[in-house]
Amino acid sequence: MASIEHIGAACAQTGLLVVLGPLVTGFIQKIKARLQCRQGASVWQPYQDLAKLLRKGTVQSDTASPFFQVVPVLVLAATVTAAAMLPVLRSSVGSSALPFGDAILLVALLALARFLLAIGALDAGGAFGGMGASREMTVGLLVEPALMLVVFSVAIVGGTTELGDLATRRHTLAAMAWQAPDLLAFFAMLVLIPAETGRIPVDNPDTHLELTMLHEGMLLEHSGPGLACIALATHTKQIVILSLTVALFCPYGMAQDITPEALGLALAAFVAKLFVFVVFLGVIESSYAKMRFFRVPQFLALGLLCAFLSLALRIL
Amino acid sequence: MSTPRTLRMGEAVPLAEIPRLDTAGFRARVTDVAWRLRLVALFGRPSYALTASEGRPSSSSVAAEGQSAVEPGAPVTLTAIFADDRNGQMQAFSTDVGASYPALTPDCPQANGFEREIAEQWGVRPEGHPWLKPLRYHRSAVPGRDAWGRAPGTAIEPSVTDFFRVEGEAVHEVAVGPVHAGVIEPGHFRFQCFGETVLHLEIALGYQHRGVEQALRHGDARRVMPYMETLAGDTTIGHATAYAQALESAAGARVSARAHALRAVALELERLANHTGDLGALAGDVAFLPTMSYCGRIRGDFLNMTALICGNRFGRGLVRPGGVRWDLDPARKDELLSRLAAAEADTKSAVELMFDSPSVLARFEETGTVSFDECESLGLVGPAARACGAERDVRQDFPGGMYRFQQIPVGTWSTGDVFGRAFVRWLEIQRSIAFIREVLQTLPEGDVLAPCGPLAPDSLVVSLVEGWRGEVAHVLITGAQGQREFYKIVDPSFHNWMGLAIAMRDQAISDFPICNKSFNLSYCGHDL
Repeated sequence: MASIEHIGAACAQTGLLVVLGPLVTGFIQKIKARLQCRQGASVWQPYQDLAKLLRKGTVQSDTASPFFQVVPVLVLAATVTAAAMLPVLRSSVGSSALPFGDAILLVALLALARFLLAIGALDAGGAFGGMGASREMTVGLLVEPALMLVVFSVAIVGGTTELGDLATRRHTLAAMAWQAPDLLAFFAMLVLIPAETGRIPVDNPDTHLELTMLHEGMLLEHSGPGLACIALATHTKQIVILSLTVALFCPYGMAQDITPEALGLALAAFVAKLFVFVVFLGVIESSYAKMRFFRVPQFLALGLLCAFLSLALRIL
Repeated sequence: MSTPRTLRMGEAVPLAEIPRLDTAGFRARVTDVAWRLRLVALFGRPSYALTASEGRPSSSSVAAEGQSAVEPGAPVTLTAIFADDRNGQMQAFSTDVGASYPALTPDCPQANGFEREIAEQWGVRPEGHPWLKPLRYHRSAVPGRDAWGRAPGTAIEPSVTDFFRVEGEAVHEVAVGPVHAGVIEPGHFRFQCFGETVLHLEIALGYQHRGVEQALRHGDARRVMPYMETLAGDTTIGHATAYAQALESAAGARVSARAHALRAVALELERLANHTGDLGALAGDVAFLPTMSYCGRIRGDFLNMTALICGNRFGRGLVRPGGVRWDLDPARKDELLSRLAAAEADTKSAVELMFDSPSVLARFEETGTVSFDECESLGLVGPAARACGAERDVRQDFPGGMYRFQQIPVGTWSTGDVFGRAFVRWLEIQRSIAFIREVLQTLPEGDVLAPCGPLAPDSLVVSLVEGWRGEVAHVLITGAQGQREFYKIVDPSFHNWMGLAIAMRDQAISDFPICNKSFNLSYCGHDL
């Protein structure tokens, strides 16, 4: 069972993810700017944006119900709890904070956050919120099953859905060595990452055009500290998805026991892996146009198909 | 029926030679030519302007909102100007109407905006107009006469009016603007949507109405040029040249070849800056970041070339009646040519990167299609019309100034979609650069500014310029003493806004921004 030490370590890992989340966004923005031959904002800009929003007042639509106010907090809570399911630096058995915390709960919590955000957007009564919510749910409908299939494809070999255990077994279990189904599942994950992080080619995080927005459309009615909560949740969700990919496919370098050297090495390995993903996302964002919304389902279906094939190969 | 008086661009026609038909004859003539000719302008003006000096109201009786008082119940003269693009000729004819007349729009859809304008400005009701709404939300110039019967004291607010509505369980309405998220002008867009699909878009403008036409008729003459240069800030050279051309034609003034050449260079630089900016903005709207950021910078390079000629990035203060105010010395000419070569290479790589990207083409192609027939019946102009396959360009059809000596090929495309409008811009960019290079290498010698003499009395002049957005039309009517009696401005946006509304039918609402950007119409040029 989880000792105090385990819980402490898991909380520290969760905290690390939440603190690093905005930096990942900052680095992606910096890479995009450099690829456009611009200087770009500092990588710390997302933190400054959060600080700015926290200082501001809140303006709320007259048509919104009291529930609208608690949406940002609930969304942030669900996302941060999802982050607690992940092994980041340490991957020994039972290293997550919650004894029942596994990949299925993680995906469910992300779905809950998505649902809450959509309900909040509909609650405010704006046309753009409704459109954003409807589009986001359409994307969610395709992304979430694919994500589950990817998880199952790995879990079926590992024999557990607990991510810390899975990460450890990648090292120890011969059956968990990389195989063709892993490649397929990893490719599926690469298709899902831009959709889950609200990035090109599925969504454009930088747009000011209300009519084209997916994720941002749902945030239009939020302001001040509420918007800060949702922005932090968005940063956190992004790093959660990236860390999930790391935990499922390349948990190499994670510490097996708590010593400063092992943890330092694990942190360096984690940051290096994140950086690879950041460059990947930055380059994708700089080289493709956003897709027509009606074509997004086709694109995501590719991810779904790969994930399904991966799972089928495992079972057969 | 009298034969139509054909007129040429920049010809001062005595008003007496323009046929005055009865209302039925006027309508018959419009119906007769509407299917093959293009409506350049249709406007009303108080009839006293024609009856020499008698019965003209004194200038002291000025009504509210700075408009001159017209006697209550005074008849209004409608004048229609149709263009025959193939033959480079125009036809003008007019009629007098009272408080109402049978609408032309059912038989001539090009007249839609113009008839709404006439109803609003003069309180003359076109009976049978299918969707008669105010255009700019101001009072009529005729006291006590209002096409909608609104009481004199009631407030008139922009966009407070009826909107076309689609009823149904799953139909929803999306209202955008007048305040937008980007740094753009105010306008209200009302979408009737079925899910993501737009059934109908209605556009309500008028927020930018400044009363320019009224001010031009009655205001201080020294303010005229600044007004012309800011009718639509991005078409400074286009509008200023159209005005200068109108005045020079009425005065019979001769402008030096060097001034004509410099005007043409400035006009093409204006086109280059705006087309490049539009291509970048189109890339930005589909989130294709490299072309967006490069084109944004290159647009600045082109604007700086205009500044090299006259010290202002938008060309303000350059064009004046009688010529241009700034000459180009050889050193700056060479500098201009070398900057042009650099900008050409940059534009080429940035734009070809975009047109070579399948992800961009997937967004542009078959989005916001306007058919050739729709283009013809709406009387679209500029790149929007050329993208539908209409070979229509003032520089070829009604050449004035330098364009009479140095031709520029017309770039067309046949698809009528966002890709077509983007690609026509790219064709025009290449041809404009070649044109500027040619003109600068054979720049005529001579003075650049000569005084413009007195205007011919009782005349009508139609002045056309191909601005970057399309045909800029100015109509000048002089009075008995050769004074500026009436001035009418038709910005290309006035024709094309309806094209945008039609392009959005059955499109995804998330494609509105790129459709809008592919037209990139002016709000203040429409609202005047």
